[in-house]
Amino acid sequence: MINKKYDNYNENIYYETLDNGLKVVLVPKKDFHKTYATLSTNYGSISNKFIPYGKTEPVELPAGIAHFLEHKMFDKKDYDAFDLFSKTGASSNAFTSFTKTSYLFSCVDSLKENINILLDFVQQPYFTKSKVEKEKGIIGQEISMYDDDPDAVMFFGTVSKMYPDFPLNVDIAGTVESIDNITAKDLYTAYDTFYQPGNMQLNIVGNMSVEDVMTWINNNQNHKSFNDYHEINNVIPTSQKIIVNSKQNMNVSRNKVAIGIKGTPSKQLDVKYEIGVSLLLELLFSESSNNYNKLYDEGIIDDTFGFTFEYEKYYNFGLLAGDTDDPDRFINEIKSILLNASSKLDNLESDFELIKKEELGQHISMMNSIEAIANNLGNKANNYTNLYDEISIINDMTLEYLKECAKKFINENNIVTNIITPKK
Amino acid sequence: MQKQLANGVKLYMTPTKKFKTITLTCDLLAEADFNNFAKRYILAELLETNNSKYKTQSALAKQLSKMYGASFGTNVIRYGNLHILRIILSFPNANYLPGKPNNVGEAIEFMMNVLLKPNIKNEAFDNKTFNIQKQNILKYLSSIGDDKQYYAALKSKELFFGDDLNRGKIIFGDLNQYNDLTSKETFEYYQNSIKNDNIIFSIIGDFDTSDVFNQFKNYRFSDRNDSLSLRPYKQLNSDIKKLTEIQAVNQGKLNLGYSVPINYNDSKVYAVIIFNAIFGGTPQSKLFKVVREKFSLAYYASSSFNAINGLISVQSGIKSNDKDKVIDLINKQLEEIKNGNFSVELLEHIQHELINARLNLLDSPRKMLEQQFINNLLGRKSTFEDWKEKILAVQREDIMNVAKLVNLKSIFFLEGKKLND
Repeated sequence: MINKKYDNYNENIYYETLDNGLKVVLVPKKDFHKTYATLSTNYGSISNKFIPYGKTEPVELPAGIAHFLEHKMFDKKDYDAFDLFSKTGASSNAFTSFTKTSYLFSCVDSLKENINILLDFVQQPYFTKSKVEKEKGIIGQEISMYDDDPDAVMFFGTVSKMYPDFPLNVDIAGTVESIDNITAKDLYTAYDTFYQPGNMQLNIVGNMSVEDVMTWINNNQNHKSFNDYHEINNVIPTSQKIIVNSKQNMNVSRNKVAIGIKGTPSKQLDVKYEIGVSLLLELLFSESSNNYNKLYDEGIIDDTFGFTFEYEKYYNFGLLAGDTDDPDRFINEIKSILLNASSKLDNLESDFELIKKEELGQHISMMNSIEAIANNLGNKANNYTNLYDEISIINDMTLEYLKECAKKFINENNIVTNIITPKK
Repeated sequence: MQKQLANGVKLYMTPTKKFKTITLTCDLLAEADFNNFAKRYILAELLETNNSKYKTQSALAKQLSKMYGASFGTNVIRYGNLHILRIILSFPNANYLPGKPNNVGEAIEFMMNVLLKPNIKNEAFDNKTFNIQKQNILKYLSSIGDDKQYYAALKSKELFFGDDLNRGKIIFGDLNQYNDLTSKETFEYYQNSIKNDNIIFSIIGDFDTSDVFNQFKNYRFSDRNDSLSLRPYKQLNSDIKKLTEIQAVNQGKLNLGYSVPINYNDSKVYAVIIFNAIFGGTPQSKLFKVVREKFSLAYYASSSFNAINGLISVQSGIKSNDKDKVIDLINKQLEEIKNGNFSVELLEHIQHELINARLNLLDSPRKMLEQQFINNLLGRKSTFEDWKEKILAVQREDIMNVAKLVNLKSIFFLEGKKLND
């Protein structure tokens, strides 16, 4: 077991890779009542075309299958995994993103039992035709709910304009039509390929004895037999196209605008770059920036304005969005700030120091939340860079490097705009 | 630890080394009066935007960055008949910062500037700031219906409380209340609030209590009436109120309001808390198991209990033409509980889960402060152990008995129809 110590923050992180390939990351927090665990697989909505376990030819499964699989993992032959957690007083949940599916629980007692429940329900699939059919109604309503939610429509809509020829062009949950085609056999195909222990990671943060927890996990895993690990073969296209300007109608009362910046994918994840671009966006658009305040005072943006940067192995993008009365000015102003960013950065030395302070403080605040810690422990793709490691990267960041980030990330030909206007 | 700064002005201090941040809140309490909703909300927004020390939004935001990304905000909250304006500031513990700056004093000063030194010119809030915030609020209020789930919850509440506008109306006030509102009037309202509202400061984290108390004593607050208290809501005997609104949306939103004549100060309240968890409050509940899992009619179908208002509200997202079926099904779940169709095991699991959820609050500084605040409002001294004992004492029959007192009072339905473009 590897132990990384972060003495400045009184934190200790333990890493272990089991014989079956499962990666285990433990962070003991003794003052807390709660323990929080996530079991994740590197499988999300973008992996809908891949070479199945033991096969040689790729298959393409219906959009939304990773999310569908997540729902169906809980539903066993004669019980529901939710209920097993509830019986110990724990609560559980799961979520699916573009690249990851995570199952989680939080408990204040019966930790051993809950770890066993988590490992067992995720490692013992049970899918049948009738159970699959029954779920279509529930997920159909989940999709309808998102279809009425302007923020979700804006987010997924804008992402799909940046990636029209890439599996980011469909919502994570798929569509009512695509999920209708999902079969129990499809679920097994996806499960056998992506739920191999070697493709998964178990994070546990909270009140625990590291030794006990490792023993429990080992005991659980040693009682099961697993197939040999086969390398995951995703068939992920290279996205070539963008749809520059889009407009759609919706039952909303105000215009909603988003600007997407499509980054160049990198073969190897670079956490420094990820933090660099995030800081760059903070520097340009945070509430303490001159840009934000100018646009706010002129009534171009308001408190709904926000931005994000998503950085993954196969794609990365920035997204800035908000409500506005003047979509054209919103777009022109934001685009002009973006495109002139690298030349304007020299004047922002003092702002840059402030942004670094802010990021440092926010990372420290995150350490109060065991969920935030568990969700920021890193993974294989980023060499397990966690939020404690990020602090030293932030400290070492320079304005010069941000300039490089701006030059690399922002490019006039990789920007899309998307407007949702009220239905008349 | 509780200190009195003046009559009606208190300071609660909770020193603990558990957290890596220090959280400071200031709550201004007043009787909820619909006529003041707009004034109180714009006041909260103005205090958040700037003040006489940090005259622009940008200067204020920069100061927060300087304080290592302190998180700061104001909002308005309602507990039954009380209307609270809350200012919250949270910042990293200096032990984890370079040079270990003495930042508690700086934070208290920042908070006091927000509260006591607003951006005033000629007996009125700065006009430019006022106008921008007013415009933003008007835009926000006119777009509130864009979030359908939230909108349905608001309409449902309005319907349930009917003529009791103070409890039922949206807490941000009506659009037309802003039309004639001036910066001068808002300043008068502010002065009145500072003079007459009850004020509660709370601080939690790793700090020196005598330093903090001494610093608070530097600020003078006048004595005020300390008579504010919560009043439980008593639902009148009335027919079921129904309202359906049609919009061009995919999913129908069905929100039901049930009244129960049991409030926080009634010993039967613990049975209602568990009733709600069995009815729709958890994934083990009847609504989740039956409406969602068994009949696949919804992705979300849940209930929540407000012990001040004796209100159990149910929310669900369904196909519009399933409305009647779902209402029947939900009412049937209530009947099931009345008839005792739930197991002792379920009751025990839910008791366990509720107790754990209560313990979990202690892992978050904000939730801990919120819990203390509510306990103080409710005049409840009960410790976790007391609370646990009372939850564990609830029997099956108690739940069946309170279920018999639960009555459907309101049905709001946002009906989705494909309209012609």
